Amino acid sequence: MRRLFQFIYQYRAFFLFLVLELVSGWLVVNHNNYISASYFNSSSAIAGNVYDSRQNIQDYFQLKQVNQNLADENEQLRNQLALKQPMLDTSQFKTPVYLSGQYDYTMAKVVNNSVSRFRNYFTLNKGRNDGIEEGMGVVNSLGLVGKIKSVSNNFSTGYSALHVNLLVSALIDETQTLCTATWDGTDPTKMKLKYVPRHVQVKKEMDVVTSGFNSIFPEGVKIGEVDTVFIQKNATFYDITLKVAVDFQSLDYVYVIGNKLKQEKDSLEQSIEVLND
Amino acid sequence: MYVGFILLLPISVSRNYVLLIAAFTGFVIDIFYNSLGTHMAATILMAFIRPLWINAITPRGGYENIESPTAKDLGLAWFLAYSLPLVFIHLCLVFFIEAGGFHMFFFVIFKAITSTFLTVFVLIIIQYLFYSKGRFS
Repeated sequence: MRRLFQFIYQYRAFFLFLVLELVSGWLVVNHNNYISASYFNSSSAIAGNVYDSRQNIQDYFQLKQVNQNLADENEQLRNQLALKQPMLDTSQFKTPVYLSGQYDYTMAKVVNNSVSRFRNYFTLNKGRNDGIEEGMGVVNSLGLVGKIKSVSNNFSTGYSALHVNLLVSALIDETQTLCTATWDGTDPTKMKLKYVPRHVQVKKEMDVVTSGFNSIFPEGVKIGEVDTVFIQKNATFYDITLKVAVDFQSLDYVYVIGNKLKQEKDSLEQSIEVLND
Repeated sequence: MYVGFILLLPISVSRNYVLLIAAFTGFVIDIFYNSLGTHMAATILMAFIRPLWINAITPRGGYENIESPTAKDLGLAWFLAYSLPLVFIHLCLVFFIEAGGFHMFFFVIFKAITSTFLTVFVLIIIQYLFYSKGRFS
């Protein structure tokens, strides 16, 4: 026994190395399971505040660009409003669900963001106190941005759409083909579109939007445009590359989408699954 | 870039302390990068290899009055030989854990090589800018 301890003491640096590597390996494997544990990621109070104050300084250098984006969005919204006006006058008109408040939007500022890693995350300056919860969708005026991962009182961290493990249920707008959009970890302006069957006629510059099936995003949020289409001779599905609608290198303001009917929809779908068994 | 902190630690610091310092540094970096464990594992590995590598490239007889393995004290060529492999191993581990496997092998290796050169380049610039000669005497 004494020799064993002597042996361990002699090679203590190596054993310390082993123990520490095991701890960090355990952290890597288990990290994604602790979704609600927000202490050890960038939505924690300390990291969030550091990113917040850094962003405050950077903001001054982006004011012109942000103003321009907001003005563009205002113009777009005003145009939409002008189109809707005559419809609202008719007595037969039923308010669509997305106008009657199934979704509510919370505006938040991106205080940290990355595009160069395989698993990219962003940090927002709003948290549980502002009504943000885990699993909510995040969009901006151009299209889909990501999904909230964990929330603290005043900050939240989200998966960017540029995260190799995030799959988004998508729809090719013209053909109404259901498919899946994901990122392959290389180019931050391109995404991949999977599971488009070969009988569909896919052309360049077709719009790809969210399907609205997973009750995170409303229907029709833009993801991108079809960029390159390729199919192997015997393959069942296309290899499609998307040009991403959002410029991830310059994210500023985003909207977090809450779905008030999510619980109702999920419990309904669950009850159907139970019946099928 | 933070690997420079581990690389430039004085040689006299005991190996166990270097490992613990590396673990803590990596952990803090991971909190900010949302990648719990990734940078920690890589930094610990690098801290473990560091003394072995220093011994391997030290000429017989050792050095006189060297506290920290800096480019100014030991020369640019020595520092390149010292830092390039260590930083490369560190970045390889970080990127492979991030990618979650070897399915993008050549892209990851390419990314690690370019990042290594950038990191070492910045480390050298930092040393010539901020380390005055009499500082550690």
